[in-house]
Amino acid sequence: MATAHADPHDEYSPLKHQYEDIEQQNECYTVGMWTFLVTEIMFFGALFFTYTLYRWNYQEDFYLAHEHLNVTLGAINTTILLFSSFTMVMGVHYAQLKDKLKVLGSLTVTMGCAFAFLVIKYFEYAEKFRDHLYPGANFTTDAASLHGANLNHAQLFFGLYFGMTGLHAIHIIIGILCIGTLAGMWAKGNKLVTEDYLPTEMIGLYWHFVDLVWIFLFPLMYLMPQPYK
Amino acid sequence: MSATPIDNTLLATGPVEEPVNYLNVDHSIKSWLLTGDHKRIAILYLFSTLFFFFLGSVAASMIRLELTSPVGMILESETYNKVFTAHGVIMIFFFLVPAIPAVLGNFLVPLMIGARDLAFPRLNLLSWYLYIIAGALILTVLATGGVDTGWTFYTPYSSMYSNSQVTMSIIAVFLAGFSSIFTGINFIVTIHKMRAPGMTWFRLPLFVWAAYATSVVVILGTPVVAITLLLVVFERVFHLPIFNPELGGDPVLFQHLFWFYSHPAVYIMILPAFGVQSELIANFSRKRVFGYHFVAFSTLAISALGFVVWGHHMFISSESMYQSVVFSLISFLVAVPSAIKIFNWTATLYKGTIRLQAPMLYALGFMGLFTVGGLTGLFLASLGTDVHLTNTYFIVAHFHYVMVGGSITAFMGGLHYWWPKMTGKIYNDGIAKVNALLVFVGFNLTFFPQFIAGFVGMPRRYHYYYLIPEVQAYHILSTAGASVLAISFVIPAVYLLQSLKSGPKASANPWGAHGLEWETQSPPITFNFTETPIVTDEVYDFDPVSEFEQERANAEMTDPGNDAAVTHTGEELPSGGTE
Amino acid sequence: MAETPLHAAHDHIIPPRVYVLNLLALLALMAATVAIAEKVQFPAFWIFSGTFLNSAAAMTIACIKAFLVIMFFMHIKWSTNLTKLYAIAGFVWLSLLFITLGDYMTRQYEPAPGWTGKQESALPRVIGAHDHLPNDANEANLRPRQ
Repeated sequence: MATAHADPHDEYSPLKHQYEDIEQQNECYTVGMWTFLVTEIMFFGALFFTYTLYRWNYQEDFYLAHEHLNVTLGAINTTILLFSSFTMVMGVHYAQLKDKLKVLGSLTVTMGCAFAFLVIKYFEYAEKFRDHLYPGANFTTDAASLHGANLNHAQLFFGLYFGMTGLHAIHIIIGILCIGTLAGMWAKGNKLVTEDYLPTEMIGLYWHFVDLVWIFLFPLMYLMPQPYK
Repeated sequence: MSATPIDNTLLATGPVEEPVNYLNVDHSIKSWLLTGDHKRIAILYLFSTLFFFFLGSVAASMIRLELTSPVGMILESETYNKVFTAHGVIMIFFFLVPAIPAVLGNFLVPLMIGARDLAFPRLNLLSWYLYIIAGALILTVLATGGVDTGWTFYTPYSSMYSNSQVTMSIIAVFLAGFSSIFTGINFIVTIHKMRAPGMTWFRLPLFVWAAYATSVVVILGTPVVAITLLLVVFERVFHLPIFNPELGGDPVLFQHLFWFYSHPAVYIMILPAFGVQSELIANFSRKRVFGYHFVAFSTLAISALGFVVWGHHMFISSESMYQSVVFSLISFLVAVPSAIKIFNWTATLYKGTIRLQAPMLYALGFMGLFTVGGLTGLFLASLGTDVHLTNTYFIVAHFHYVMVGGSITAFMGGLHYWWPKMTGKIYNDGIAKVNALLVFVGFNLTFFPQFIAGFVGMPRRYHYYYLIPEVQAYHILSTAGASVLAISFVIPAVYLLQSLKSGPKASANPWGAHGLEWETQSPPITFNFTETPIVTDEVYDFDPVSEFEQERANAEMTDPGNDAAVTHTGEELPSGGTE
Repeated sequence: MAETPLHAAHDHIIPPRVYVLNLLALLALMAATVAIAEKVQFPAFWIFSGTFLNSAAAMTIACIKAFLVIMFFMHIKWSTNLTKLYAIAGFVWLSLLFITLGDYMTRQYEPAPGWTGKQESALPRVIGAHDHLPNDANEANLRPRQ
C-alpha cells in the first residue's frame, strides 16, 4: 500500500491512506468543501427566490413594512461580518505559516465578531417582538405602526425576514461552534490542524459563505428603495 | 492490464483458510459501525435500504388489498391517506434514492476507477448514520399516527390543516436528503480526482458516468427541497407565513419549489439504473457499448435538462398556460437522451454473444419496461392529454413502470451481477433466472391494468371508486399481479442468503467480464488493490470472436462446482488449452 | 512510492496586503450601497422604473462584493480550474430556479383569473354542492390547526 512521508523521521503525516500525495488531498478537500457550499447556495437560493417573488408582487407593502428595520444596526452588522471574514482569512494565512498564537488570535477575533453580530441581532429581534411584529396570532393590528401597509402582506415580509435572518443566524451559530472547535484543536496543538492548513481553510470557506449570504440579505431587506414611478 | 496474483499482504492471526478480504479482516461490531471502508458501508446500506423496501412493500400490499373493493375493504379514508403517503415517502426517499448509488455506487465506484477508497470515508459513514437517524424518525412517524399529506406534502394542507405527523416526517426526509448530498459530494470529488493512472474520462465504465451525473443532480436539487420542506415546518411550528393564501402567500409556490427537486429526483432514481444497465448489456453480450460517447453525454444531458422540466407536474395547478407550453416542449426534449441510450443498448445487443443469465434477464426486462414507462411519460408531457390523464392511475402506472420496471429491475440485475464480487459467493443462477421471469410477469400484471384504469377515469389516491365500479376488474388484476411480484421479491432474499451460507466460492472474475473491479479478488481486500492499477486498455475491451472469452464466460457461473472451470493464471482450461 | 513534499508546489502564501485591500474595498462598497439606497433617486429609463434601477444598482454592488469575497478571501483566484468550475456552477444553477418567475409573470395574460398580486383570494372557489361520501368528511380537516 502506498503512503507518502515527506520526512522519514516524521512520525505524523497529514496524508490520508486513500490519497497519493498531499496535493491531491488538498484539492479534494477544497473541491469537496466547495461542492458543499454549492448545496448551501441552492439552499439559501430558494429563499431568495421566494423573497424576490413576494417583494415584486407586494412592493409597496414590503417597503412600508421594511421601514421598521434599523438600517444603522444592519450596516454595523455588515461591517462586523466583513471584518470577521478578514480576520478569518488572516487565520488561514497564519495557519499556512504555522504560527499558532496568531492563528488563535485571529480565530478568537472572528468568534468575537460573530458573537457581536448575534448580540445586535438579538436587539433587533427584541424590538420586533416588542412591537408585535412576529407573524402569527400576536401580529399587530395597527396598520399605522407600519405606515399604512397591508397587514397581511406585512406578515409575509416579516415571515421572510425572520425566516431568512433566522436561518442565517443558525448558520452563524454553527460557524461559531466550528471555529471554536478549530481554535480548541489549535490550542491543544492537535496535529490534524497544526500540520495541515486545509482544515482551517475549509472552515474559513464556510465562514466566508455565511458572510456572502449576509452581503445579499442586507441590501435586499434593509436597503429597499422607495417605490415610485 | 496486468493480471495481479492474489496477494495476502494483510495476514490475519491464526490459521487462515480463505484469503483475507474486507469482510473477514475484522468481525467486531465496532469495526463495522465505525468503518471507513466504502465496501462495508455499502453492505450496511444494503441491509438498511432493503429493510425500508420491505416496509414500503407492506404499505403497497395494504393499498392493493384495499383497492380490490370499490367501497374499501380494510382501511378508513384517513388511514388510507396515511398508507399511500407512507408507501411514497419510504419507497422514494428511503429506498429508490439511496439504493443504487449508496449500495452499488459506494461499493463499485472506487473499484471501477482503481482507487483505494472514496475521497471522504468518514463523510461516507456520516451519510449512513444520517440515513439511519432519518429512518428511525420515519419509523417513529409510522408508530405515532403517520402522515397523510401524500409524499408531495402539498400546501396549504401540510402547512396549515393536517393534524398528522408532518413535522417529524419532514425532518426525516430532510436528513435523508442530506445523507444523499454527502454521498453525492463524495462521488463527485472521487471521480474527478482519484482515478487511477491512465483512467481517462472516456475509459470510465458507464456506471461511473452515471454515478457522477446522479451526484451532480443530488448536489444541485436536494437543497431546494430541503429548504422548501423546512419552510413548511416553519409555517407549522413557528407560524411563519410563506404559503398561506389568507395572507397573500401562494400555495402553488410550494409546488414550484418542491418539483424543482422532485423532478430531478426521478432522474436521481433512474440514472444509476442506466449505469447498471450499460454494464449488464455490455458484459452479457460480450461487446463494448455501442456509441459509448453518446451514452456518456446523454447521461449528462439528462441530468442538465432534467432541471428545467419540473412544471410538467403542475399543468393543472393554475400554472400559466404560456409557461406550461415551455415546460411541455422541454419535457419532450428530455425524452431524447433516454431514447438515445435505449437505441445504443439495442445496437450493443446486435451481433453480441448474448448470455441469458439472470442479470441479463433483468437487463432485457429493463429495456422493455423502461421504454413503456418512458413513452407513457410523453402522453403526460403533452398538455392536452395530460389534462385528462393527470392525477389518474395512468400516472401511477407510468411512474411505476420507470421506477420499478426501470430502477428496481436494474437494481436486482446489478445486485445479482456483482453479488459474487461483494460476497465472494456464487448464487444459484437457475432459480434466479426463473425468478427474473416471475418479476417480469408479476410486474406487468400489476401495473399494466393501471394504465387502462387511469385512462377510463380511476383517480389516484382514492380508495372509494364506487362511482366507476367497472374499474374493479383492473384493480383485481393489479392486486393479483402484486401478489406474484411480492413473492418474486422474497425468493431472491432466500437464494441470495442461502448462497452466503453454502454457495460455492467465487473467483476474481466469475463472469469473465471486463472492468477494474474484476481484476481484484472476490471479495476485495480492504484497500481494494494490492498495487495501484495502471489503465492501458479501453473500457469494455471484449474480443467478440474469441472462443476463449465464451468459454470463460460460460464456465464458472453455469458450472460453479467445477473448480477446473475457474481460470487462474497459467492453469488449464476445461477444453485443455492453457491461458 | 517516491518521497513527496508535504506542501503542494502551488501553495503559495498570499501577502496579507491583498486581504487588507480587499477588506477596504468591501467596506467602501458597503458605504456606497447604503448611500445609493438612502439618498439617490434614479430616473426612469426605458421600461425600467427608478425604483427598479435603484434595486438593480444595489444588487450589482452586492454581486461585486460577493465576487471580491469569493476571489480573494475564498482563494478562488489561486485555485484550480475544477474549484473555479464548482464555485460558478452553484450560482449559474440558482438562476434556473428563477425560471419560475416566468409562470407568475405570464399569468396576467391568461384567460382565467388567478394569483396576480391583486387583492383577490387564492382560496379555492366552491363551484357547486358536492356529494358527501360515507364514512368520511372529517370536518376537522377543513379548519386550520390551532
